[in-house]
Amino acid sequence: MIIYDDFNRISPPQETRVPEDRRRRNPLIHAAGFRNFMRLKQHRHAPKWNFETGDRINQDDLEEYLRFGQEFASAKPTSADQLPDWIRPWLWNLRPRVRAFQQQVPEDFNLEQEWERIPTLGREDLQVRIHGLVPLDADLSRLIVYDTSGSTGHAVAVPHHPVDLAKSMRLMEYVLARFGVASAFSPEMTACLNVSIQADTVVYPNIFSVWNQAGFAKINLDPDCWRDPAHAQFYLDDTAPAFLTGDPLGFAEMLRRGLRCKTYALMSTAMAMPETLRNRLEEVFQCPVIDWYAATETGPIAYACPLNQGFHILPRDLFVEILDPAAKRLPPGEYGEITVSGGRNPFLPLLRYRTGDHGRLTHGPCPCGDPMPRLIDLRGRPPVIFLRPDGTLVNPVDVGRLLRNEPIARHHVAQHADHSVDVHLQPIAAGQTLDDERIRRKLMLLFGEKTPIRIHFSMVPNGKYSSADFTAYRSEFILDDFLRPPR
Amino acid sequence: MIEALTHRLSQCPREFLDAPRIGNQGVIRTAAVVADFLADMGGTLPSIKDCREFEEAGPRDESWLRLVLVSAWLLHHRWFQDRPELKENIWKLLEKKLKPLAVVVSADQCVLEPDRREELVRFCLDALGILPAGETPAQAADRLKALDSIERVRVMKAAKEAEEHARKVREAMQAKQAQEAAAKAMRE
Repeated sequence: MIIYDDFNRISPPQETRVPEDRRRRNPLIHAAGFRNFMRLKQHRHAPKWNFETGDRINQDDLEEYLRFGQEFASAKPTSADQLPDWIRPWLWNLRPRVRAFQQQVPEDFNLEQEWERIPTLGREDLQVRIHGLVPLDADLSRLIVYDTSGSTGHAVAVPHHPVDLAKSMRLMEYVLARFGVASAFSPEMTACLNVSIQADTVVYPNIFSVWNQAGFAKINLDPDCWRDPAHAQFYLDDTAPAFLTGDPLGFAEMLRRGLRCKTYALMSTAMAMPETLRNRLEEVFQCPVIDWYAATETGPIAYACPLNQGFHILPRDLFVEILDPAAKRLPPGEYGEITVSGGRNPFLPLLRYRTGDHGRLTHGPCPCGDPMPRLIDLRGRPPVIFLRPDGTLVNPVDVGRLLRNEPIARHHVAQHADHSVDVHLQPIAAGQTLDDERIRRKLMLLFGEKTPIRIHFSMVPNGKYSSADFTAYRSEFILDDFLRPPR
Repeated sequence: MIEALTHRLSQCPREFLDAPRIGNQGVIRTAAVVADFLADMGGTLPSIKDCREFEEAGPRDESWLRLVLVSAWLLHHRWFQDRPELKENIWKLLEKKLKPLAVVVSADQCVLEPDRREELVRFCLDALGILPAGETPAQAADRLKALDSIERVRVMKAAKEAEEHARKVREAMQAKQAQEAAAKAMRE
């Protein structure tokens, strides 16, 4: 057994043989990487780990990651009025193997002239017909699955490949460099901690082979996740991550609890980062807070310009268009729905996929020097603040997860200033009866026993939201209500 | 025109449905039937070399040879016989174009079943570049498409493959390893 009395004063492990189950999860792990992994795992202030996974990166993946890095570095941005060069070979190569593409694009299609006639894809295509997008000859043995957050009221399971996650990490390196943070990884360091605040989520340590076996851990700041809630600060101190990733709610929880971390950057995803929160985080952590625009279905799309000039499109293999409701491509500068084609997920190539998010695209030069087009007025999903009467946070992701197994097509949850909660549920089948009392009890476990919860079997409150801008969650609480010190 | 030809098919003599000669088996020498048929259209007889495709056919080609025999009967109609300019296209039809159709329909079906009779008639007319009397090109194409056995079989095969693929994707997404996923530095 390896004993650590302090993260930075490690008793040299006697045994560096990597167990088989760890090698299965981290195929390229070596002795130093395993020691790094065990440091994170067996730290005396570590969270109560509840999950095991790895990076699943093998030698071929590593080489593909390196090739991707070279291609990324040499790719040129496309001008506003033309399709990128890569899209024609990409589409005609995939079309014979992707049934959805066969339905979207006729065989004798003139791509350059008729691009706008290609029907768009939406979330429903992923929910109902995702197999139509998985290439017929894909090697499914490498398939892994992630769920979307369900912020539109229904989560979608999305297939991924370990190598597309690795490529996203290459994009992270680029963005860190844009903010002056060098990516010098080693098996003796922690590259990153992913910080969340949820009632129920997986937490685990890991090492990343594409980052030279540097350490990583997904941690949850929920007090129940630790043997002692005070351990979170010790763990942050001792693991000394080069940067943190998370969402605005997780970072806000750090502020609220006074948790600190000496790190070089905070990278925020999953929902829009409010400017006031970003300013406070930068002031407290004394490092850049980098906002990302990404989705589980698409991977990273853009990152916030270091000079606050919008969001620069990040991947070179993703074609971004702005569409009007009739799927017509809008000229630069006009406001519409962000739609993407391409990507690097071998199990989910996307052709004119509507993200549900809106913004404008501009191709003009940016003073920051990044030549890629920018999304401006990007209206991402703002963080929704649900609060228990004691002032602690209920993450909407937990609400979505709790409702996921119910036979409902959509849900809408709204919290009022008196903490009461209205839950609107739309059964999958019309006239279907749902056990409202059971659902109410489950939600009370989440929101606290003192929170009044009202269940309604109707959608949607006052008919205000169209399906295009449907948001599953609303709250009358704002971030400042949450950031008040704990009572 | 279509009715006359489908009626002719329904009257196809029994001998044309006999087994074609392949090696030492079968009764009718397809090459001889084709050569006689083309000779009746005038001009020179096809040589033995020309007819090698029919003479050297193997057991796998039986369905095609049978369809050639029935088609030869169909096209031996006076209307075609009076148009020697069709000879070259008829040769191509018999030698090549009937092959994919023969994979999905039998000669017997083309004689006994009304829809397949009409399909063979329209298939032959289309191959010869002849528009059925009283139809526009679009109408003729639509009608042939509606009867198209090759396309129907292709669609059914594609649907079966798609169903199988969907099942495999579902299973892969539910597999333990897929659910365990992989470490992700950042949520998207």
